[in-house]
Amino acid sequence: MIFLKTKQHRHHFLGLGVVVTALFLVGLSSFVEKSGTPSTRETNVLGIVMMLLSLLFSGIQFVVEEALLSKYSTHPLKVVGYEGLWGTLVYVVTLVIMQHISCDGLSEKVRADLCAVNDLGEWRLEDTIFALRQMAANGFLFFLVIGVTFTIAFYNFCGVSVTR
Amino acid sequence: MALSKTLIYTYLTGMVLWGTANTILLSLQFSETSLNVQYGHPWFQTITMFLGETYCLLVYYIMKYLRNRKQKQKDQEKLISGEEAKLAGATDGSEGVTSNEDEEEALEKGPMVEVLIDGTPTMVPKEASPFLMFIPSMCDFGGSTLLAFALLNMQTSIYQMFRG
Repeated sequence: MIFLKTKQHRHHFLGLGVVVTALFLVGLSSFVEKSGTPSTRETNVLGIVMMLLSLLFSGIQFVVEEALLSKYSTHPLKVVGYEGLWGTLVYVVTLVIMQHISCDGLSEKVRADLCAVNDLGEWRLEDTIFALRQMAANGFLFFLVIGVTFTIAFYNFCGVSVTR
Repeated sequence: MALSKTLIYTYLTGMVLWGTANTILLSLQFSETSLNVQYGHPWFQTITMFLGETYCLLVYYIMKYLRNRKQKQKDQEKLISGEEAKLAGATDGSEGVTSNEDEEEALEKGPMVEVLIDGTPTMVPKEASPFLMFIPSMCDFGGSTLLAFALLNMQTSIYQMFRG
């Protein structure tokens, strides 16, 4: 708002208020009612905090994207594509580094939250090689991973097109 | 470029549908086990997301290539018919191609830059540098990684509501 210099009307703030209240209630409900639906994963404070932080990041991302798209004539597909390319490149480096970081020094609980274990019982910050091996051994898993790449491609294309 | 209302709603619907499909696929991944270990690789999942975005870049260049080829074909036809009509010394072929491409690109909005084409200054819309896309990409990097960890730490339904 401040950066894009767009005018905000009353209904914008009303909408923002409703969304914030709703999310607050959703977040609260998961703490109040513990004996609800059986779920494999419990919602915890860590998850909520991470989610809020990630929303902050994607907020900044949308502002920058909108600024780029309004200032330059670049095609939305090209913007998403280059974002993906940069992200992939940085991630390849990150994953190689993480493959070599062992989590053996950490306590049991922290380790379970942050790190990945492989079939040999070794804990690493991220075990990409093991992830690939798991995919190779489980066809459905491989299908899921491919599906994720395609859905995110369409999702981002729609997202950037709307921003434009 | 102003989008029609129908198109915007189509994109918005697409965003919701593809976003939901993406969430379902991601959370299914976490409930899969392979090689006797639960598949839990939030970092690796994020690189698959970036990989999906890179598909957009591929599609963009394929589209661009096809459009250019079509344009060239049209110019060739025009050139041939022009030559037939005049019978001798028609317009310069290469010049015809460039001016046509400029016209098409000029339809996209944005600041114009003066570029020398065949010695004559021509106005061409300014494109954002691919390096500029690094900024939103890094926001995406932080955001997506946190999202993956958040999904690992919360119920899928709540995750989807937060993600909006």
